Amino acid sequence: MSAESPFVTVVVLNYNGLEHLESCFRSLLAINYPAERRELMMVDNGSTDGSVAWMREHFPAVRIIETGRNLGFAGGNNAGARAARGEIVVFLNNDVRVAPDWLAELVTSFRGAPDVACVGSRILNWDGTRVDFADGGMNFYGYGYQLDHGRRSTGDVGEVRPQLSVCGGAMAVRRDLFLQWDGFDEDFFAFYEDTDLGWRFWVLGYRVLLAPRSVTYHRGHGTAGRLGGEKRRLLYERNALLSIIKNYEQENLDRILAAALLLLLQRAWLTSGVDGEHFRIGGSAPVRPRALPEDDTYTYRYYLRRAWKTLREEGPAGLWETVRSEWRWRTGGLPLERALRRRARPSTSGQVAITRESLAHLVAANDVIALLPRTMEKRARIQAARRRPDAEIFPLFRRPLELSLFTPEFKQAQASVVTVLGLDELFGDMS
Amino acid sequence: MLSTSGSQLPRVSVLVLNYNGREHLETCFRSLSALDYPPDRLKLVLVDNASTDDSVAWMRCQFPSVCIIKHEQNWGFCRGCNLAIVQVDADIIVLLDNSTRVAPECLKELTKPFADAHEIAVVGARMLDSEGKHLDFAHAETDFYGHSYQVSYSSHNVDAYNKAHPLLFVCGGAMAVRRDVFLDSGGFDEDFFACYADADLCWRLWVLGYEVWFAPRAIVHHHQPGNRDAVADAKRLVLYERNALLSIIKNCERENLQRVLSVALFLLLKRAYLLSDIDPAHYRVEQLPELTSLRDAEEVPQQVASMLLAASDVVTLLPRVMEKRRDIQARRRRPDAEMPSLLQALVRVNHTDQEYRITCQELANIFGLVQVFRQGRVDER
Repeated sequence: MSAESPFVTVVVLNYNGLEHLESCFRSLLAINYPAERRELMMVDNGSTDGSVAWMREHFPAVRIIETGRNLGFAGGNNAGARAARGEIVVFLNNDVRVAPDWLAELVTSFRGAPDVACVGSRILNWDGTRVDFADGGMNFYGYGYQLDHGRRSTGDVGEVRPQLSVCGGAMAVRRDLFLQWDGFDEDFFAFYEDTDLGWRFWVLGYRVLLAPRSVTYHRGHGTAGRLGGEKRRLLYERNALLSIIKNYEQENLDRILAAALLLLLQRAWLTSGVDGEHFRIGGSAPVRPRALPEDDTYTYRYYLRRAWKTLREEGPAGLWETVRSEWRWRTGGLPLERALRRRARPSTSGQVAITRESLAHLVAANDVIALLPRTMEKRARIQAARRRPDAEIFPLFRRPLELSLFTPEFKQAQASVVTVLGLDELFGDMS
Repeated sequence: MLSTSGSQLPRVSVLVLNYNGREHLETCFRSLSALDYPPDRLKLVLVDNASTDDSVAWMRCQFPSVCIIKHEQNWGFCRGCNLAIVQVDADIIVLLDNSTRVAPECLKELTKPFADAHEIAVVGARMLDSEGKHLDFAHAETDFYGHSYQVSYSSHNVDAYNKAHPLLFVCGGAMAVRRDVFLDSGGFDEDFFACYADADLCWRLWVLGYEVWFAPRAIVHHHQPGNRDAVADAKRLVLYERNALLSIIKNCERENLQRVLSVALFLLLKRAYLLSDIDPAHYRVEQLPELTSLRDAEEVPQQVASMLLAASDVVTLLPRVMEKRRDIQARRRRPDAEMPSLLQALVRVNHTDQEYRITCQELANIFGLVQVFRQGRVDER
């Protein structure tokens, strides 16, 4: 990379996000970066709300790539990267605005470090008071986490630091490496393709960094917020599985895949809304081996305690904000009525009502099975080029044993699977 | 080795497990009373799983010579049998379903193979339907993901498999087992409650170095239950799906367990998906936003719930299952590759759905299971 600022293409992916475009591109035009060293691009994923015409009229200098249909996050951004002229490509969500130094702070980390493949921004909420993304982690079956989501934003942002992955809503990649290694996995459509990309880069011997002084402001779940819970569930479950199948060393995949599938089935059962007792022949219920240590995490008492603590420390507004963000993140916007509904029982009709959220797990598994031959080919290519053992990557998981369903039943199930199959040993001190 | 010459026939106890089966008992015990076997070497036992009908009183009155073991609650098949077998004294235990009728020569035929080879621990009978027109059990296979099948079930060819042969398991509805081996191996797995406990026991015995054989001329007629209701079927499926997985986890060799279990779980998910018959388009983000107003739940066949509950049970039981696994594997005397009948079922998947059969083949290839189970089986005797 030359001593001068690298040539950068900023790719803003848009799907029916007309309302967001003005604030986004207005902030982009105001950044401190040589105008002749950057290219602004909007990739339109087949919007039907007039986004393209509006952009041509109001921001004629922005290059527009039209995919013609919704290729999802992965397909749309990959199309942008292919068309980009910059040696660095920056992916940016449409529902953000950027700070003036955002881009300069982002690309400076690539300078003199050819093994840095990807650098991410710190993402705050719209008014900059709370953190949206600044720290990422992943559990052993591929669930990604925004670790300090909802935390109050302070002046102490820390140094540039390595992370397993950074948020695809504001990340820069070296275009040649990105394209050489197939970019975002288009089988994912959306969700976790950023986690998968970051993990893949580490496996291949590159590094992924977070640049905390590169700041963007995020309006909240623009497109994702409109998705039904079951649609999100399908993407999370499917993509987490695809990601672990591609990226683990053989020995670790062998240890982890069955556990991941068992826990997926357990989530499907626990979210099904079915009354298990009515599916029992008398006396055939399993006798629980021995109770795990007493632990009231994720019980009502636990939430009351946490609420009281937040109220004392952050006041009513802080409590409201925390409750809202926890509810949305942990339940995917679970409708309250489900918690109150009577659990379904078998009947002579032979049918039973199962929640769509639960059935989404079956669709996810079916997708993975259908994609398995192709995924194994991708796996073969990645593993053949492996330059770093899993053991060196594990510390970057940060939360290898984090839950994916926040109920006491699931917590106990996961703890049992992890202990019995020796996965806690795999991750050593981190557990 | 147990001798079969003259008065040296092995001492046999025939155990008939009963739960509210009063209607079947007369036929069953009348046929047992007519067995061609020295009375001083034979003991008939009714094991009552706390029936609420008048089974016990009726038996005391009609068959006063039959010994009765009364359980204080319905322990299911596994614990019901285990508790009884500890209590009776015999060389060979014959387990018999209460809805059966045995042929007079059945018991001699069933116990004969034990004299031939010390390794034989279990012998199964040929089971026919009550009229003798259809085959019920003559051969069995367990596929690599733990589901067991009665091959040729309800075939008109009632004489099929007319040579004695080794097989992975025989039907617990009419099997003879060496009592010492049964007790030493831990008997039926009580976590199973019922369903596939026979297949699991036999699989374990193969792992421990024993053999399981079919006695083609030991004939038992089995009265088929009538129409079962949908709820009972859904409940039973929980046990079948759960126990198949438990069996895999306990019995598979270390090198094969992870891959076999992964494939088994994928296939469970596939079966549940196919059975649910849901339209995946309604779950795809590409359909946004037209279908977001769909209802929160879908009506699906209740066996889908059975399958999910089965997997949840496996998670619950995992710590204990893994302990049992350690015990079994520490005593292993025979590698997986020498198990009979594992691969046949893989090639001939017992499922009518074309998509499912293709998935089985694909997963077996991708996870390298074809190679694992391609090797030998024990020789036909």
